[in-house]
Amino acid sequence: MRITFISAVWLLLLTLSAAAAEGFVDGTGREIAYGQDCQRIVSLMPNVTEMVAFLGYGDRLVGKSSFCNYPDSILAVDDIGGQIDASLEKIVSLQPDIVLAYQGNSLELVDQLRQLGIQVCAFREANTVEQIGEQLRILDTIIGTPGRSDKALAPEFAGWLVRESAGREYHALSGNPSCFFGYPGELVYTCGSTSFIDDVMQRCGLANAVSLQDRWPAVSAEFIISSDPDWILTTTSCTEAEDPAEVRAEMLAELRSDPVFRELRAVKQGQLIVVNSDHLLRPGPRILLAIEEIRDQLSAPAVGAVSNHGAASAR
Amino acid sequence: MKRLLLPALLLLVLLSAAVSLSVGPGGLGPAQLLDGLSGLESTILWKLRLPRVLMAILAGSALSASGVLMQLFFRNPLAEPYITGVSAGAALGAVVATSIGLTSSLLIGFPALLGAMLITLALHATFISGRRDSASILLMGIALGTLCGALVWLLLVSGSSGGTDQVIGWLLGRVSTVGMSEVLVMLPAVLLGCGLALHWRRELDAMLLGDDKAHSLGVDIRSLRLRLLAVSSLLAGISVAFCGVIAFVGLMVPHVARMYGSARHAVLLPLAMCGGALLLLSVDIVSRTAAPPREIPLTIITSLIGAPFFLWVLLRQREVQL
Repeated sequence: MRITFISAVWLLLLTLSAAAAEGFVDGTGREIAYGQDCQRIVSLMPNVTEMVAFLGYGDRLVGKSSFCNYPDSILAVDDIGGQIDASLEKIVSLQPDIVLAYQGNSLELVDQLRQLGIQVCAFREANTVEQIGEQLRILDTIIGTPGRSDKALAPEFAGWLVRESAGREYHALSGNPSCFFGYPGELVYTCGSTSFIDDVMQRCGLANAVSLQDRWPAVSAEFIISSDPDWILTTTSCTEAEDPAEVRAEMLAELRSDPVFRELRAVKQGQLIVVNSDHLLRPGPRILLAIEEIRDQLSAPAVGAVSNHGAASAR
Repeated sequence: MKRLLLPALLLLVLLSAAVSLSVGPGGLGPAQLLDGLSGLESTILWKLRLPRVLMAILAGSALSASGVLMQLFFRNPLAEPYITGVSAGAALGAVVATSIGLTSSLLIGFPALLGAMLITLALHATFISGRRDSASILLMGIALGTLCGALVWLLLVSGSSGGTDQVIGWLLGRVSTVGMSEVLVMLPAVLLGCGLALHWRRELDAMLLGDDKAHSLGVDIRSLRLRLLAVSSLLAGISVAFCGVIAFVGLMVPHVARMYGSARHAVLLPLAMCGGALLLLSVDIVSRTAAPPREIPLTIITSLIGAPFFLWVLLRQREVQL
């Protein structure tokens, strides 16, 4: 009851603040007017495409990046290219009311579009899950109809706001286990303390084993081994139709064949969390699914521990 | 037959420019060009396609002319902006520019040009210090290029560079991000550089005979070398500054122009300039039509075409000569 009341107050405050402000200052310092009722939208990032569709404006998308693959309803939308090979001409030919960019898109492209008189709203990367929710709200306020009634809000969006404002749903696990996010490779990138995945970990009761301030630092083998995490969080591009247990087992086998990761206690003990990469790596609405996947796996038995000699054995 | 080469190349450049203006993912084709343009089509033609066509011509000409001059300066057919470190210096300038928050290609272009010029100054200093043999200066260029390359990757890996994708796009070469303002800066620089090189054509021809013979013919070799280095760096630097790093044009085109044209600079320079313009125009057409709406970075295509072609040329001709 109390949570519902706080949520209602928070929603009211948000609505009032949105109404009071004339516009949103985007990540490039440009003021973007609220209530534009944009009918032709181009999205340059998959997470932004997911946000637009989540808010119920998927049918207004006229262009998307080559990496946008969700939801299915937007797959037929015109492709404008990828991160380093986007076609300016294609975007211009789509005559968008607004182009939505996110941190990581080429600022040069943003500049060029603005020089051609096309409105661009560029979001900074969210640092927390709560900021992702805030960006959803801002996006809705910009591309939506001024003063539209709540019935137009996607029910999931309303639910999201309630969940994010209420209690922030941080879990506590006994012993505050540490977790390392990453995947074996020549260059292992992990998440620092200012990334939204750090916040995702905290929400699941995990402590990031990496306390570096950088958002996405590249770390050495020695650093990974010395971090000695209780858990490994990694991602897979496997589809949701595949058996999660099988996916985890395959990933564990892969980590155990890596000369660095196989030395980690978490890998030896099978303390592995494997999340759909699109859910976890995109700061969009499906981050909630990633949180659920992590929590589910934390409460599930480990996939398989190995003895000191490295032989796999089912737990 | 050789006399027809230049007019034929010029005709091909014009044809390629016409094709380049009439293809692209924006749906503006030859039919619309002939029927009259809507407001949107005008924007696509004049603000997007025309600048990139002009930039491809200018950058192709500049890179090829720079290659001709560098190869003569270093007396080495492998000398070009990559090897001499000029491209790497420009790349470092561009990456530093993005690190401090500059975003437009015009603003990034000037630090890139500064980087190219700093490498040139270092090469000058090597020359003035007494190490005048071309091998020493070439090795100096390679060392400086490697150093700049390491610093570029350090900035990229450490995340200090604001837009990594933007920098990677720049490092792989493109003419898609330029507007008429960049073309208007590029045009006088290319005209000046190429004009000066053509003006010095007799001195350049004399230099082919060797420093001693050129000196005996009244050529001030020391002054000519410095002028050569300055102009070749200006041409390469300004191209890299606005179009990013485009491989092989400065290496391949002068060599082919020498093979099928002449070593005389009155013929070689115009041939190389037309050849470079034609190559870059063609590559840009492929870039945006091979996998639309994606644009394949130019260096990928120039390397895919250039490397096998150059190997073929090398195998056909046992000894490469200037």
